[in-house]
Amino acid sequence: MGLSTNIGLRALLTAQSAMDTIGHNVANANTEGYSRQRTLISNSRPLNLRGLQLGHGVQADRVVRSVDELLNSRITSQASALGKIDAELNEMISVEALLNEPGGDGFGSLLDGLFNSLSALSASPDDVVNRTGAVQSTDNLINRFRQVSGELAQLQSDAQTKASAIASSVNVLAERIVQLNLEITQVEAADGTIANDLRDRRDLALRELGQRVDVQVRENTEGAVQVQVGGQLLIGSRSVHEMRVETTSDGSVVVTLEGGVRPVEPKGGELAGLIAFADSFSNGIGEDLDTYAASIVRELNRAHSTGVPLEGGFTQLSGASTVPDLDGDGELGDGLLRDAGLPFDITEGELYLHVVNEITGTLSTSKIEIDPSRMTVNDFVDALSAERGVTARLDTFGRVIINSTSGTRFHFGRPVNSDPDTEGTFGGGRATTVGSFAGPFSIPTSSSLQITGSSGPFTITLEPTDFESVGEAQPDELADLLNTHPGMALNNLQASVVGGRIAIQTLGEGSAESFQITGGTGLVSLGLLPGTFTGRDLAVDVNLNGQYTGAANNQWTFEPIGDGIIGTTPGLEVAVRDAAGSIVARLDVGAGYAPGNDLVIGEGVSVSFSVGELRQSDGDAFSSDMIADSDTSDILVAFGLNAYLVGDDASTIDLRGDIREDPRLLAASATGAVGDGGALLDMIGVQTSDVAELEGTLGEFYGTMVGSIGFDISSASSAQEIESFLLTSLETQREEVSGVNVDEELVKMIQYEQAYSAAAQFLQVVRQMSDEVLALV
Amino acid sequence: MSATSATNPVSAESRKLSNRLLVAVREDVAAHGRVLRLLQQQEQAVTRPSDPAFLEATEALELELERLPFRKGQRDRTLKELGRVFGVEPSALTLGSVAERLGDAGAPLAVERDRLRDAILEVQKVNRRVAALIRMHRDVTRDILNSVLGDGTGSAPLDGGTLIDAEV
Repeated sequence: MGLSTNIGLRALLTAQSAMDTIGHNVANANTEGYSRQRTLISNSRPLNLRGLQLGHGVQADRVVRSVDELLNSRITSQASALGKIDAELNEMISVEALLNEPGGDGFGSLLDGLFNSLSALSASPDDVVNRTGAVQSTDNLINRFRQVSGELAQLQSDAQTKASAIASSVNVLAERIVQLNLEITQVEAADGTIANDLRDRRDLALRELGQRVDVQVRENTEGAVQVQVGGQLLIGSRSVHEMRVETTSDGSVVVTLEGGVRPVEPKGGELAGLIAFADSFSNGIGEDLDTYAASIVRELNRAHSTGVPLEGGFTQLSGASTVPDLDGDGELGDGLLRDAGLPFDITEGELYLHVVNEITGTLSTSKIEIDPSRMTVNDFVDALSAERGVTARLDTFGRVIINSTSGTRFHFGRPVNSDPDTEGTFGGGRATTVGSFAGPFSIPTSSSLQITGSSGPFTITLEPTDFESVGEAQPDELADLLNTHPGMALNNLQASVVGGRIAIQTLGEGSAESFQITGGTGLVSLGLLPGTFTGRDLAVDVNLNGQYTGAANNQWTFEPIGDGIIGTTPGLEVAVRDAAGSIVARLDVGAGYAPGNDLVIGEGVSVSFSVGELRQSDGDAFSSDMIADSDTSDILVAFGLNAYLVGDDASTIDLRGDIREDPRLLAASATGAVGDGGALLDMIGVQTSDVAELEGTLGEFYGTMVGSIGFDISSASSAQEIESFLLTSLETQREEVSGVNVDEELVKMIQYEQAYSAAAQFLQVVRQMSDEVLALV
Repeated sequence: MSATSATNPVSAESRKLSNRLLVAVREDVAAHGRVLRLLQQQEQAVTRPSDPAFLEATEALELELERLPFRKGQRDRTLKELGRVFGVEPSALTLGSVAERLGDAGAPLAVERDRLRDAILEVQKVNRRVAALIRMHRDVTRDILNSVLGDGTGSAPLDGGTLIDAEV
């Protein structure tokens, strides 16, 4: 009786355990992370009583979770992959929304607006209203750059802040997991049971952790898990190595773990997504935007810096860029141009400077050779100051300041000099001889030049060491040296340079003026001929017209072919040669030419001559610079001289302040002539020109940039869809393994109940059968 | 008594009927042996109602019980004819009284009667135990279902004979 009671009681307790487990399953059917549990039941060990093996009923061994550890590990890993893409994609979509393309306030539309306003201005370049419109369009573009740049920086900063917040939540989860580790090991060590619910909670915490950062999880023999991030320990059996996120000075996000010897590089989870966005995507977009802004600044300034404002030139010009003291020696400007720390590069080239006499209108053009690997900033400033009509200096901030001297204005345009023979070397009134070839000239030792002027003969002796480059005299250098000889001034003579050739003239005009070159060992090397040179009472007046349209800078030299009177001497011609000596045009100025009429040379330029005598025998010639680009070195852009825009990236781009205040300073003209909009046309041309730094036009670069963002987002969206699907699939699998299906549980129980009922009925029949047969016995 | 019985003459007919009864008793002994094994199988599987062994044992038991009417009919007809031969009311005959009437010829029947009695007693013992276990498990299962399916008012859907739809 006692044994039977025990068996019954044990069976009831066992069934009670099973019922509790099922009830627990049903109650937690909707609990996130819960794993279905089941009670393992077995026969009790039989009792050996009175030599008999007596059955001892049933017992519940333990309650176990239905769980697939490998599947859980894959879910954690997949949650990391999805977390990364989710976080990155959300931020990327914010960037796309920020750019708002295609849209009315997008860069594409605003840049079009700027070029449209410049185009409108080019129709009437002197119109102040149109100039104001151009300034407003420029301001719209600039404001947009600043807004997007600022918001992009804010998005980047927000991503960094979010990364810090995620690190904090990682630490909280890590603490929770350590606490669960302790509880699980205590429970399982105490009575050998499995801490199912604690393990479920830890699995859930691990999954949440994996969503934030990719983790590697290992369980030790005591049941505690150790978690690593990027090969470094985040969670030990009983301790947490706190995660920290810091932003370095260059804006990159660095993740470290307490006690770690090096930064951790998360590969998955929201943290990795935010870092990828902050370090890579937004930086990339930011850099592209900066490149785009810098290119707009550089290209528009290239056109504008050589333009001429409405006043026809400058009396003072300040550079927008500053030269830093890179070597720290306290002296600004001692560095080479290529290493001067300027925002834009300077290349080897030439800069044309024009000085206009405000009273006479005379234009003086000089060319400064720029070699950034040899020339210092100070050399450049000195070269400017060496030109007549301007002085230049570096101010205390390192800006180049150029001032005109009294009564002059200057600019860097590309005018055709309408009065190219100011020295009168081409049929002018002064007695003149011009050398037959251009310098530099090779100067042998003790080269002599014997000249007889109005005061008598004198000899000039030249030594190779008189010149900067020993034995090689530059034309200007030679002319200056000749002019320092006392004999020149005493005889009212002057040396000058005409198209690189050396010219010697009297200061006075008219047929009474003359001088002789009587000989000397240096005549040949200078291209001069001995002879008597006499002035003319009727000087030839030369006038050039038009706008040079050639592709490259050049210098045209005009010289007569033969001696004769313009408009009278049959067959008298003027040859126009380029800098290489090739004939550009031969102009008939003989008997059929009406003096004063324009003769077309080509490349947009024509010339007219007044009546006068030309002498090839005297070496009559003049030259004029034909300028396609007055700054092929980009030195004006680099120093921000006559800039339209200042700054060198999206956050600093701005319209030059004084242009905003006074739109007349917008340098629309290429020549300084009234109504000329040559510089504007160059600025408009920027819209369709290829920019080397962008490997295409501005529009193409921006289109690629926006398209690239769209492509990245599209790719990330596709990846998100796939990763999400994979995670859902894994969760479905987990649900099949670990989830609670209430219907299924109940169906099982009903089947059990029916099986027991059927069996009980049969046993009743068996009892009746045995009773009946026993009655026969 | 056995000496007296041994001297009683046994007719050919009664010998024939007693042999038939002996075969029926042996079949009953064998049937109880099979039932006993099935009960033991059920006892082993009772804690695992989802185990196919439990259901198979139940189904085999059902099959065994289906043969009961046939054996009972055979047994009743033999006892009826023996009653007529012995001139006794058939319902008053037992295996023991038949064996005694047969005298020495009834010895095999007496042996089989003892085996049958032992088999029946063993079946009854195990049957009681298994029945008790099954009832307990059925009651517990019903408790679980009633608690899960109950509407919270204390009503017991299964006890009330409610049809269970597991998908509800």
